[in-house]
Amino acid sequence: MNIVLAGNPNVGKSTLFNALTGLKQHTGNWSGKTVDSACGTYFHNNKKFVITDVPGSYSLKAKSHDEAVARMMISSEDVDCVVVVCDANAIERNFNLALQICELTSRVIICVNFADEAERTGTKINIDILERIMNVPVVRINARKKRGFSELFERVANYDKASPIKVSYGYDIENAVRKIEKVLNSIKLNINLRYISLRLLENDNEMWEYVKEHTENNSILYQKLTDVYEEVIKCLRCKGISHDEIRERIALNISATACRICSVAVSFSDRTFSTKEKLADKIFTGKITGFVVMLLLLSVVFYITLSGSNVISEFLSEMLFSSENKIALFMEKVGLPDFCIEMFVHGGYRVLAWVIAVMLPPMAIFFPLFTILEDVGYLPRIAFNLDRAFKKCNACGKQALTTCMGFGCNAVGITGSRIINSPRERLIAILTNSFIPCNGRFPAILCLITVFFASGENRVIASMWLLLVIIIAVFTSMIASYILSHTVLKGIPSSFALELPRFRKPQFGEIVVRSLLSRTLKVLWRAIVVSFPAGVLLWIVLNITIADKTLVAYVVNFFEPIGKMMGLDGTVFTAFLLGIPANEIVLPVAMMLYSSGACLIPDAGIASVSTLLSSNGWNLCTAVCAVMFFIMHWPCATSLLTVKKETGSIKWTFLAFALPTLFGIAVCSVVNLLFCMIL
Amino acid sequence: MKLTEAIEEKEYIIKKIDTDDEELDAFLFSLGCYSGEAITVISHLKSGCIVSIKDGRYNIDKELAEAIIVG
Repeated sequence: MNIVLAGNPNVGKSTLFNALTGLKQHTGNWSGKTVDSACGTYFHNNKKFVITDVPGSYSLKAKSHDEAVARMMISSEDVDCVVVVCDANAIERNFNLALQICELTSRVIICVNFADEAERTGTKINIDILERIMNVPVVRINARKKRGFSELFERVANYDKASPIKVSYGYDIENAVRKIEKVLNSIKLNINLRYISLRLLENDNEMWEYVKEHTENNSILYQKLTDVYEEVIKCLRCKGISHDEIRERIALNISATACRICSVAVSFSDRTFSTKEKLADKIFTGKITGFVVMLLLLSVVFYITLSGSNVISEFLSEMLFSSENKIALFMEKVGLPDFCIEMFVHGGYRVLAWVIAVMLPPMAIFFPLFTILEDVGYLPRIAFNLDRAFKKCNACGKQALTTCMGFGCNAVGITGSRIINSPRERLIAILTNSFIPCNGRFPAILCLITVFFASGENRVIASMWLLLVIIIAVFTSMIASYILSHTVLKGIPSSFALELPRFRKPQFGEIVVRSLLSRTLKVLWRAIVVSFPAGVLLWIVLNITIADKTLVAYVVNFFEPIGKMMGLDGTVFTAFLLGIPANEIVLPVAMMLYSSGACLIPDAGIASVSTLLSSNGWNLCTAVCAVMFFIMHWPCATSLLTVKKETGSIKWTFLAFALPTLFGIAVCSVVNLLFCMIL
Repeated sequence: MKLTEAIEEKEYIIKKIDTDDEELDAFLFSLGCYSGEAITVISHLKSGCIVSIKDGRYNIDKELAEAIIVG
């Protein structure tokens, strides 16, 4: 059986989906987290259910991308049952959509999620009455606590065609609908005819297109339809009912029905929000307090990341680098030739060990912490705080959300830009996302900061520096947005409303552990597929000599001038170039390149970085420039591919490549110049 | 008057949504924000305000707030 999960944004569809299928769709406590539908299977009593998770939407008007997707999925013939997930805390608004879905299909089951949570705050929902009024099965569940699933699937499996409640729109419109329906009856259509008639009356373009498509080889029928339509519209106009009036009446009747249903089936003891939540929001979104809290939270997160990752990092590097010799010895015993051992151990294994020991720990700590903030519901509040700043750049306030996602992975941030409706603002969000240091670059920046800016054990200072770097990154992404919106993507910002979700206790067991595991595994996987071959390749290039110079030396020499101009050197520049497949390997590759020149072997963690880098002429200026270049340089291959996929254009993909690169070269050069002038 | 002039924590009834942007109108509608409905401003901010409509809380920006006429 094919099942679709539909509903308002942030009602827990993805949570339900994950709980059922065991898949790992990302979930978060904010509207618009899911932008792509996902598919999974669930077995109940040996029966297979294919479940599709659809992005949430407030209505089925098909005006924006998510709504169009939702409408298409729900009306699809292959779907055996649509499970409408409703949030018990905002049941009336949720029923608005449920009623619209009931109009579109008769195979509906309503799920009331968070019913127990709502009861605690004084909203009592009478399921039996609800079921009788709606005339479709209604089930109480709690997706987070995995309650009510067996009942839900009992109902899904034994689903019998129902005739859900119909919203009536008054004599005039009903009359018009009947007339159009009559004509549509002779056309072979897959969507509910009443639904089509209503949308045609509203003059919904997409629906006209749909009807046109299905009458392609029967122009007489189409002609007849338009004739009847004209007649009906004329008739309505005579009574003083314009197109706008039709639209308004339809919408009003739906929400009035939702209101009536709720007044019967739901009792509220207290409809106001608790003072605690109100106070929290006053603080989190206040003019000054909002920013103070935001910076404070970030510094705490950075502090924990720094302290935690140091410990893990030391342990891992100890373990990994000490086993290097053992592996070499083992390979010698097996009888592999010398160059082979060299290549795999000093090439592949060493880069791999570097990535795991130095890059992995910060990610493994930062990401779960970030997930906690997301799960609590803090992200939409950040978006609100930064809204004004983004508005000043003529960008959308929702860009703050994609920026936040960029900290995890730029590709995710780029895909997430779909929540922005305006194409212009979406492009800005996509093109500027790579300015945000993602999980692959973040540890490298962190490493450089610990080595050059916060000597010793002073983690408070280190996290302050890190905070500064992050602020610079966000700020440059805003400047880039400003430049874009005043040159190639001119326009005025559109307004937006963003739902402020309830604060929820984060699901430590579920999400945090899952994000830790999935992140760690993902990085490990990338480490294996990218850094190991890269290490092997690098070793080969380092050991092939042409005219007394290694192949790499030629490349490094070639980039030396531009590297020097930017306060770096050719080696680092080359490392950045080699890091295109994955930014995680940039620093390890640079280490390897250096060590081959100076015959210094980096066989320990962060401690050796300091000696190695300074022996190769690194100073404060180099470090600052390197950090800047980490923020602003070409996006990794995955990000570029995602940009290509999202924009469908080579031109924009190229711009996504060029914009941060030019920024990086310019900023680094200026920084270098400034340092030269001062020192 | 416009919603931007409303007093915090006081319930108002929406008189009209003053906008030419059909999409915006439809969006506000789907949130339950249309004439005849109750709306409460929880707090005003420089960039907009936080409002509570029915059971939901939303942050809306200044332009939107100015388009909502309450009485």
